[in-house]
Amino acid sequence: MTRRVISLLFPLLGVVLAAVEYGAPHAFGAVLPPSIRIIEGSVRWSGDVVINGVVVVRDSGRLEIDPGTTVRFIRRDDDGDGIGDGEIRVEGSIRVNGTIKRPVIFTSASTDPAPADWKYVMINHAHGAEVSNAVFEYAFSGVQIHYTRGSFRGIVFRHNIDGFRFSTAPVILEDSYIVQNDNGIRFEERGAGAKIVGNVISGNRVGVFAVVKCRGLTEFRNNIFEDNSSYNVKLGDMQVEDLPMSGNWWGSVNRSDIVSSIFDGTVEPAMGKVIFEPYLQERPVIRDLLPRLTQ
Amino acid sequence: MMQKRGVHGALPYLLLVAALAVPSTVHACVGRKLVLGALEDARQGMVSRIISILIHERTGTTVEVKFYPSKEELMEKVLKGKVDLYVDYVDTALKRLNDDPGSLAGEERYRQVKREYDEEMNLVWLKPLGFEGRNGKGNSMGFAAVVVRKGTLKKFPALPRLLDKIGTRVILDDPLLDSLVLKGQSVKPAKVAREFLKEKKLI
Repeated sequence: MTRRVISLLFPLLGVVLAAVEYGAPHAFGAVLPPSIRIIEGSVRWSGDVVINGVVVVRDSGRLEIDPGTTVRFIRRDDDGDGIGDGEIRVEGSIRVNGTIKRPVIFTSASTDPAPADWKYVMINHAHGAEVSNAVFEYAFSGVQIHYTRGSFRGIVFRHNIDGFRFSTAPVILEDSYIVQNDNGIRFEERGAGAKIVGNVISGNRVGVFAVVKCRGLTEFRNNIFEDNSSYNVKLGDMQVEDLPMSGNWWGSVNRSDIVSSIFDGTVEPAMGKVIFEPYLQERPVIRDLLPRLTQ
Repeated sequence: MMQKRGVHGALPYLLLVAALAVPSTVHACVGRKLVLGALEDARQGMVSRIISILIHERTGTTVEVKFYPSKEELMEKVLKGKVDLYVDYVDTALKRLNDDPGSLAGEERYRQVKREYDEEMNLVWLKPLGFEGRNGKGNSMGFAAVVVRKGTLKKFPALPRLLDKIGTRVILDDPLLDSLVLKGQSVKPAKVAREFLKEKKLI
């Protein structure tokens, strides 16, 4: 009898797991064991994709995501660290082909979503990342990219702990909205220069957190910094070199307002300073992407 | 729908096998983390929040605060390497070493406890924070200081310089700490700690 029950349950469990992976309603998610999906070779996602656990794009793998795809991560925290365990880990390459009309959305599967519902899209020692017109929301870090080249254009990072986090990565981030995160952008250069151009960095607690080992190789230009509640820019305790950040809009033309929105060597002499002058005297015009991507 | 080249109808079963065969302990690191141990009392609660927020804000390191009902349980976790740092008091620490605090002057007590903890337990006493510990009867337990595992300091060598700011730049003395604890009865203690650090320009 027991063997018959098991023999019936086993395939049923398989169907349920597959259904969750393939985008069926996720009502089962909280009680299922996490799945680990390995991608080798070329894989294409479209439509609704629900992830209950970890997806690993191996060194030989290539993940391509079609316009209009929604990737939902089921909230689960098996290790009890307060951060959702769902993630996509890229060791090969990833290409996200959203369009303005049909963006790709990475989000929580929860009906009551919150920051850190899922962990991140982690691109580490990978072959490359090309991401266009996508939304990353309710993650611990929307994207973390390390030791990898990547371009990110037309992205919305919102409601994450860290929106966009990179280190030792020559990345380009432009025409994007980094809004309502705890840290909008968090980075460590470690010898690799990035390009952060033409973005709106607004409504975060901290706009940009330069943690350590930044030598001014990263270009920040034509960005809008405004309404970040704690600081527009904060340097980490061990960030001793200056950070060139001229040519940005700081939400004001009043120099003392700008100074007070930056935590750097002005406050803590052992730290470097943010060189924000000369700064833009007018708010630059940036295409109104946010409402179009997040309708 | 998700599509994979060359995948056939057996995919659900392959997924099941994969899910059961691969260990479920694949945890990706989300960054460096410290565990700060504290006793379940209002003063330690406030101090531990000040320390954890300071470390997190200035270094980006995640700090998990774990509370313990007794010093014995806390010390057990420290010595097992489950807790990286905690706040201790000089006189009670000397008693734990079977030394008589009464036989030494204030600064000598600190030097002695620092030396003995280093030699016997691989624990490093940082500079005093500014306030004294008090037991349930209100008696002094000696200067308070952050104590850190040596192994932790190897991974986080900047911790002493950062945490010493609490005792040197701000001087978290008894009246100041008491006022923060009092505020923490009507406002969330973490909010009080954060506002305090911001006001002192430490974050």
